Amino acid sequence: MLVPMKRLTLIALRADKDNIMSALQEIAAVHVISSDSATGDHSSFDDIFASFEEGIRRFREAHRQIANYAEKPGLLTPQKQVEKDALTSQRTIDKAMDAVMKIESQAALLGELKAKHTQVLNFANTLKPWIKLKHNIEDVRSTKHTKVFCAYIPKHNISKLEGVPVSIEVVDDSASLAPCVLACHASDYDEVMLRLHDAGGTEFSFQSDLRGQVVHIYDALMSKANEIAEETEKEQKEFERLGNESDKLLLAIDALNVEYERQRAKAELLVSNSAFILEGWVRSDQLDLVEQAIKGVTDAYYIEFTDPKEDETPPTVVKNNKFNSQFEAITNMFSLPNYRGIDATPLMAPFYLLFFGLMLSDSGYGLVLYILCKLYLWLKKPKGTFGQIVRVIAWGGLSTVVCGFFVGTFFGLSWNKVFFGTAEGPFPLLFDPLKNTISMLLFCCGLGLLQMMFALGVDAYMKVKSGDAQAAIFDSVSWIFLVVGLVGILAVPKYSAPFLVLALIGGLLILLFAGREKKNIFGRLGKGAGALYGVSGYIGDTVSYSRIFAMGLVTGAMGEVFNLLGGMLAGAGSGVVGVLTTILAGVVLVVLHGFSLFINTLGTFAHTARLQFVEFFGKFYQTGGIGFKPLGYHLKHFDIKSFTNAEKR
Amino acid sequence: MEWGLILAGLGAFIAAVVAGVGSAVWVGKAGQAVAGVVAEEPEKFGSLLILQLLPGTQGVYGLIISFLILTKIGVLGGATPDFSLGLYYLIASLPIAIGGGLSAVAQGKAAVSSIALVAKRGEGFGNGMLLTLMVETYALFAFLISLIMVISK
Repeated sequence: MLVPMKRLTLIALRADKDNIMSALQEIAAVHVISSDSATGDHSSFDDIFASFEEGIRRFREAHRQIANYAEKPGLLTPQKQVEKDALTSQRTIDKAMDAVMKIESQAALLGELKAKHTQVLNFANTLKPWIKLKHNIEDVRSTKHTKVFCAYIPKHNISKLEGVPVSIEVVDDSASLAPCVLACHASDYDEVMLRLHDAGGTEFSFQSDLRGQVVHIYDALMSKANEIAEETEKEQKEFERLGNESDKLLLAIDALNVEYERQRAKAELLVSNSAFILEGWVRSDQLDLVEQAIKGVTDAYYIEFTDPKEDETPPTVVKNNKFNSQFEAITNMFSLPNYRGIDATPLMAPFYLLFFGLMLSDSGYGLVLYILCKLYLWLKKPKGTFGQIVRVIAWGGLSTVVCGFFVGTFFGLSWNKVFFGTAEGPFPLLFDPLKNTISMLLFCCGLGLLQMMFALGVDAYMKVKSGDAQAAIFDSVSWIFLVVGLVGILAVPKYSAPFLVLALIGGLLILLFAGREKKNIFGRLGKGAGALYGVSGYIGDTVSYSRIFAMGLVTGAMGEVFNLLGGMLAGAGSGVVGVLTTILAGVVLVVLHGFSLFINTLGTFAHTARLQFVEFFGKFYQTGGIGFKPLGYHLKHFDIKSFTNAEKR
Repeated sequence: MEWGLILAGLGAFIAAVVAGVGSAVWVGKAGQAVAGVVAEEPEKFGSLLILQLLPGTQGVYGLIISFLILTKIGVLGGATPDFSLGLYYLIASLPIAIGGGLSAVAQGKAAVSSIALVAKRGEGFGNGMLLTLMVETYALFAFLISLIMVISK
């Protein structure tokens, strides 16, 4: 059922603005819209919005860094709950800010340690070739007449320096670029350098503050590097412990988003120096709730609820009983109903369940599906659209169990085998689609015709209700006559006379009145004839319902083939091998049937939806509703404990 | 060897292979598209996996027809067919081979586009799945005809 909406206009003191907006957010009942006379200029809010986005971004970034160390929620654990107060309390933000500080400083510390570690290791690496140097570094120095210096010389080139007035001490001859200490007379230095470069040598000098033997310095550096590595590891552990702060950050993100939403709603208000005007939409059954919330803040206000005007489009809210409301998720996948249309969910739900059961058509699969969905609902307690869909599928599973008795199988086995152990028997109760192919095909198309005629009936009702009885008779009832008549002629040729009359009446109504808005008689008849051609659409739509039959066959054939495979495997050996192959066959069967269940459920879900959307909704449903998005608490990471109002869904 | 068996065997072959290749290629392409999205948004993996899988059903349909033919022609059961019956099985395999193989391509393209849709707008999953499944109808019809042809003999 569509809930009637009222247009809310509230005028109150500017001083009460923040408190009123908080109170309204708490009840989640007002869909705030731009005030008619507001300029739509939000520029004064840009800074506020930017600061919210920046804050949320910072929390997210901090959370991203520690997310890997946070306790992972299990696949089946329900979402954590939180007290509503925690969302509005400054302490939430403060605590999260503390956590962000800790995370940022710890991350910086870790970065520093890692950089230091690399630096020490790099330094140690430059000294490594000189480990075998026997002298203290400070002893390798020039005197007044002697130049003493270090260099790397390619090993095979050392011999080229023979005859040069220099003495070469090779420190380590295992390296291809040999570290050497060279000594020469100061006057020969230039020549030596020239020859050294020719031989591919490069000079090397120790850092001036190094003292003692290289090997000691090197060892000291390495142990320092190890110390740093240990410290890094310790700090990394400390960092990983910050994974515990994850919830604080997520809560703060949710809290900021709640406040951000309120700020954005405030941007829609028309504000003067002393007062403000709020405009929005309210469900007509929540008028009191809204007024009470405002009364709780102040008694200086003016409030007015008016019916929507012709040119206004209120948001759409649907209200259904517990069973039907699950199917709203399916309807909404197509489109929200137009505010001035009809809520098709309760009309669609029984067809959906019936077609679902006929398509999946295997009681075994239905049973497994039902149990799995119920377990999931019980453990995970999914909310929102997804929760609704899981409930729909659970019901679909039950419907499948029932339909399986009439047209289907049990895990690919015929019911007769399951109950009596024989191939022949009373099952399936209606048809065996593999044997009575044509009967099953006609049965499915018949169901389709039934649903389409129902749709036309609804359409006629809607037209009468909106005061257009002509359209109801000429555009809807006429089609029911024509289609029912034609089908009757084909189905019971013996008693075709009344059906012929029915079809003729329907056809004439369409031919004469489909173009009733045209003045010209030929134009009118032309339009009528064109409309009559629409009968081809009904043929196409009817045939489309054969997918029910086809999906049923897919499930049956798939199950049968898989059982055949399993049976072949189980009978493949004897003795110990036989036992092993039987066990293997069991495993293979579970996996294959699991796959079949998954793929067929997916197909069934979607094909059933398609029949509703295209063949059923196409005949009467008015789309284009706007979603009702009341100012409220919209959380991503938590559920609110003891939420009392309708927003709970 | 009997010509009937050879023709029927050819039917089993093309049902499995043509439909299977069509599915494999486009499940692969859809997989590449999913991988690209998941690199940025790992939380979309679950729903995208379903979209990737959609062009894969044709291969399963082909496999089933192939199996059912094999159970009829003396390979997994039944008796060796004569020439005309063998030819009949070959013809019976054509709807799912051609209809399945080509619809896998078309469905794969729709799936890749729908993956892009979900990448841009996560709540578009329902729409994307329905758009992709529209193509499935024709694979289903092709399968239906092949199935009826095979089981009725």
